[in-house]
Amino acid sequence: VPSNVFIGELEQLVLLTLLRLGDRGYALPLREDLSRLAGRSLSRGALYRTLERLEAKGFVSWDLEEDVPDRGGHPRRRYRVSASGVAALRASRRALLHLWSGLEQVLR
Amino acid sequence: MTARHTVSPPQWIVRWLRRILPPGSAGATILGDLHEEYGCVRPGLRNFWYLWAAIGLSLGASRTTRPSRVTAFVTRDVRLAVRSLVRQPGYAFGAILTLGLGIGATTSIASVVYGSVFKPLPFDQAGRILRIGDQWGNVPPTSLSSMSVANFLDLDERSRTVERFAAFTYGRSTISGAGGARSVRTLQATPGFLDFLGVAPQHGRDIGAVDPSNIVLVTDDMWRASLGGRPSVVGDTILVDLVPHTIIGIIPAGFVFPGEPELIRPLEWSPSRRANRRQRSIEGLARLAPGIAPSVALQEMNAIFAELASAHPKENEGVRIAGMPLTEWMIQGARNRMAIFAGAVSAVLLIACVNVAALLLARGERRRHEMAVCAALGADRWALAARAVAEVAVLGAAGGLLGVLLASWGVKVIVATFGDTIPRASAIQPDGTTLLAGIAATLLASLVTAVFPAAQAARLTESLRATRSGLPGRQTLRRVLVAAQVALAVVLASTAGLLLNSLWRLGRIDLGVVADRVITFGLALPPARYTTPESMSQTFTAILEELRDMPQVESAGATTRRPLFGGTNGTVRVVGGKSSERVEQRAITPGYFDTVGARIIAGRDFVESDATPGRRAVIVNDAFVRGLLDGASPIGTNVTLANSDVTYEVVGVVSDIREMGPEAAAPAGVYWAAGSAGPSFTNISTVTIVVRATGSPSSVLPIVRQQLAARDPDLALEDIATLESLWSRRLGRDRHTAVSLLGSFAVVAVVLGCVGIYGVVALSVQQRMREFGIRLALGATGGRLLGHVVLEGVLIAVAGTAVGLVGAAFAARLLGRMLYEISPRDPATLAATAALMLAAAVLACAWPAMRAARVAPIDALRQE
Repeated sequence: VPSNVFIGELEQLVLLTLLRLGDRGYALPLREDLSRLAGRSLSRGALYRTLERLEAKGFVSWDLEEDVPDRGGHPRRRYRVSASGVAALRASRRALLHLWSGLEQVLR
Repeated sequence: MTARHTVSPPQWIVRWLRRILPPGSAGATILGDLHEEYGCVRPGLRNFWYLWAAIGLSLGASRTTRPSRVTAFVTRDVRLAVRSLVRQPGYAFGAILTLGLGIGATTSIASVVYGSVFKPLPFDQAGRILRIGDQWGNVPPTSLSSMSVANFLDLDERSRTVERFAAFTYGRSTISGAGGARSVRTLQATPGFLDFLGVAPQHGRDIGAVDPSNIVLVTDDMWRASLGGRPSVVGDTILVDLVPHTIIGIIPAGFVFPGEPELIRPLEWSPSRRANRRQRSIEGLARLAPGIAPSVALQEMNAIFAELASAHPKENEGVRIAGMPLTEWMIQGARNRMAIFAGAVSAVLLIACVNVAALLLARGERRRHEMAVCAALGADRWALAARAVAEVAVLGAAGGLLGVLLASWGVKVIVATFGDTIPRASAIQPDGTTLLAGIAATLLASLVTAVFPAAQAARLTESLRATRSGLPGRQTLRRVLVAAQVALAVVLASTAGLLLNSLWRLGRIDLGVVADRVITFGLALPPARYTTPESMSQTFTAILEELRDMPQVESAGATTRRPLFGGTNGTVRVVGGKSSERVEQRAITPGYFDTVGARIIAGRDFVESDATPGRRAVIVNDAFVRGLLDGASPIGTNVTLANSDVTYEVVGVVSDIREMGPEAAAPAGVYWAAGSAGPSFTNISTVTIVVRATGSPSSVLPIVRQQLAARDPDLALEDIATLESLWSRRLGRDRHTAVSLLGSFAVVAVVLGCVGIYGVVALSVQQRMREFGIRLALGATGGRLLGHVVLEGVLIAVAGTAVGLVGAAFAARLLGRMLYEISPRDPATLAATAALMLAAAVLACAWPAMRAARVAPIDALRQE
């Protein structure tokens, strides 16, 4: 991962939630889990924009599923965290853990 | 079938979203996600939810595009407007409340009118369903008479333009169970009735062609309220008229049909009924074949009827067939009323807009100086206009929100209060339509309101010459606006006055009954238990005796129809004299006349011995004596009923009762004693019991119920009403509804008009303080100034009232038949309205006028 690609907190949350969702990486469960597990209720616009940004950075990819029932004939995107996305998460985790170490006493 | 059940969001929002969402699969995915969620939202809220989500997405989308003039308006002007309104909470509150009330009233009425008149019926391709019926002679084609079974079956067989037919009849049944007996409205309908309408049962199935007769379909309401709302009740048995019936299906929620039936039972005909052309008792429906116009189908059906008339001239001479779209039939008679409501409420909205516009203008006057400074410093006039518009936008949005909230409550209040005069009332509730109507009303209100202040700001060519209190005498536009408000208020008040006057005239008519303390109810004896005419007659007699023994009951009697609601007429012939085909006929018990308050004019009332088989005594009314006996003494005269030769002896004459309502004179009438040789109760399993209480009639009811339940727990009371309420129903519930709605609108309008006058006069006084001070200093008296100021307000009111009276004369024509013995231009009513408006105007001027008169010259001069 090039060091100049910045990864924001919201992007991290989205990537982690997508990893947890596994094969169910659709927008609706993603938004639900973000609110349920991370306590972040995102507006629809913000969620789609974040996904767009992650895609531009190459951190997520998607497959298009056609003919899903109850969607009025519209397709569905299944998102997956790419290898570089995982790498970015790993780098971010490392940095965070590094910064955390020694501060446990202060922030307990 | 399934296509009807999949839900899809409003297409206009989808189209709008397509335009603002990114192209390609990104946008399509978002649409799909929204669609999926839409399906999970509660049906009543779905469309709100979708619109809300779309607005959210559109705000997000606009953030990514470059800032435009619109964005500048939103971020700068609206923010400024909000700030300036927050600084003047009183003014903002007044304006928002006024707009909110106007928008709320308009939105409520629009929702009710839409739900009742324009909303498509919840039937598949309802436009293809015609309500058909016999049409006799010259009666208008809108009144459909019942058809005979044989004619109906012939139509069914021969018609090519009609895909299929259905028939139904109305009735009542008693349902008994753990909670006691209850009388319900029923519909008997031909097999496949729900399928005919294009409605799928939510559980169970439709009535089939080979079903037994003891099955029922129940409505959603009844299923939820009385049967626990479990799908498993399909297949259970309930007691209908004491006979076990199997529930075969549950009708879906939102089903509407005239008469609001609670149960649907199969309508079947014996072979003799199928061949009967004389007995006309069924109501017809026809679903036209695709692409066939109603007129074409009616033409074909009439051709078939012509064949039937030549084949069976005795039964079918002079009968045609008439029909109208089912929707049309269901809302008959409501259009006019709805037009009146819509007109009245539009006037209220207009007044509210004009009021706020006038407020804004006044504010503009005060801020002229500030605006002039802005203009001098280089602000272009459009920027100034944009600020004025922003202020209206903020007020409009807040008022609209308040209005929609008020409307969601108002719709329920209107339906609860006037439900029985509004067709399809049960299906009306606040929904997406309410919201759309609210948005439309808000946009309209904002537009009307914004025009004047924006024009005022844009036309600002005054220099800094303007003093801080504004330029005196530049209020012409405001005066015109306020006068317009007064005119609208006068239109509303005078139409309400005309209606009130009609009601008062109607109320003074003597209907021939003494209505206080009298309660009436229907009582049906289940035919399964009371099998013989004798047992029925004995039961009714015993019930009446028990009632009369109760200390709370002054007198009691029974009859075959509700008092004041006549309509059973037939031929009566005076032996050796005249005869008439339209003589009102009723069987009654001794004590009936006493109870309803009719007087015996000559001869005697019935006694118990008249009510025995073999006795042939009748009582006629005064109208009968005048009409058929030319005023000769009738006691001892013989008459025959119907077309039989059996003669009955007249034993008494009773005072007239206006059975056909206050507007029609009392019809000639014949009464015979129930249980005597005449046609009696036994033909009809339901009778109406009338009870005069010693105290309040409502306190008698529980005791009566108790007594009846003790006698037979399966007896149910139906159509419980006081005679007073029957009377006021006869006076016209339409009129009551119209008077209360128009009356309340008129009060709001007059108050708003006065607020307008007050505003103009108060501002004018404020601006002319200096002038008044000088005049006082030069010797003018306070009284003179007071008169001067009041005159200013009154002149506006006079101008408005004059225009309003002209408008009122036109508006009153809309009321049409609702007016009773009063001209739409009744001078007394119009004069009273004008006087009321002018008096209110004087009151509105009083406070500013007093301020002007009490001003101390030195203070007034110092102000500058």
